[in-house]
Amino acid sequence: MPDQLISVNLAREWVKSQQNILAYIGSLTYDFREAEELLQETAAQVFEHADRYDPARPFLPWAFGIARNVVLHHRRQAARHHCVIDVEVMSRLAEVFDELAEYREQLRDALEFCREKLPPRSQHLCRLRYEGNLEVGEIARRTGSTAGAVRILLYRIREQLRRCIGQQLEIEGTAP
Amino acid sequence: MNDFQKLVNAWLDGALTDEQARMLNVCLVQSDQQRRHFANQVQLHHLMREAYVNDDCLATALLRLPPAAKGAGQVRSIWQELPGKSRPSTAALVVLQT
Repeated sequence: MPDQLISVNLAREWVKSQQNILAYIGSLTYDFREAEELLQETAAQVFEHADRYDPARPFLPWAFGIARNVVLHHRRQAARHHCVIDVEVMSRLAEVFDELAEYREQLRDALEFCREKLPPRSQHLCRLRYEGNLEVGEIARRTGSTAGAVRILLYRIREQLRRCIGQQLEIEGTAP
Repeated sequence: MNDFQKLVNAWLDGALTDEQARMLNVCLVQSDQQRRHFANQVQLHHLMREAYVNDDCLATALLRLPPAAKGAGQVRSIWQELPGKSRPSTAALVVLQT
């Protein structure tokens, strides 16, 4: 297959899969920005090793393998990191994320529906945590609350969303 | 809330201690059910992040490309084929341009 065609096919696979790869990396580090930086490095490695990609085989497990190596390399090199998952667990999580990838689009659509139902205060908290990537202590400071109270509120919001998403997926008949 | 959920919450809050990390690894290596629970919550966590961060870097990059740029048409084609609101990475674009 010509090199350019391989690159186009690979790019196509990448754009379809990159959010699943980000979620997988996000299970290996608990910091959003670190995960996003590692995703970019994974993208670079994927295309650098395009010649090793076999289009006859599923793309996602191959990309997960590269992501895992990127995370391991980062963990060895970085002075400070949040990659705390053991190597043994990394491979097992890759298998789970490979299965979850099938439902991602439905899950995202259900989340959009459910997120709009959150009361304004919950939406504000989500914005601080998910858009601002703020730590719980900083959210507490900005909202005049305590870290403990913010943790509980975020937990309740996530639970509320999970319940709502579960109901939506059941209605649509697409629950995993 | 059980102990495992407390560990997952600490992860999702970005505030995992070393001891909690050790305990989380033990849970994740031992239990398929807990791995699935953890993966589900992390997936939702990143969908939330995606929903709040407007990652339109590829669209921005495309606007900056000269019309005759090598690969630009291919990237636009890929972009148009994407399901829903999937947001591709600048990386794919960069590779196609090189």
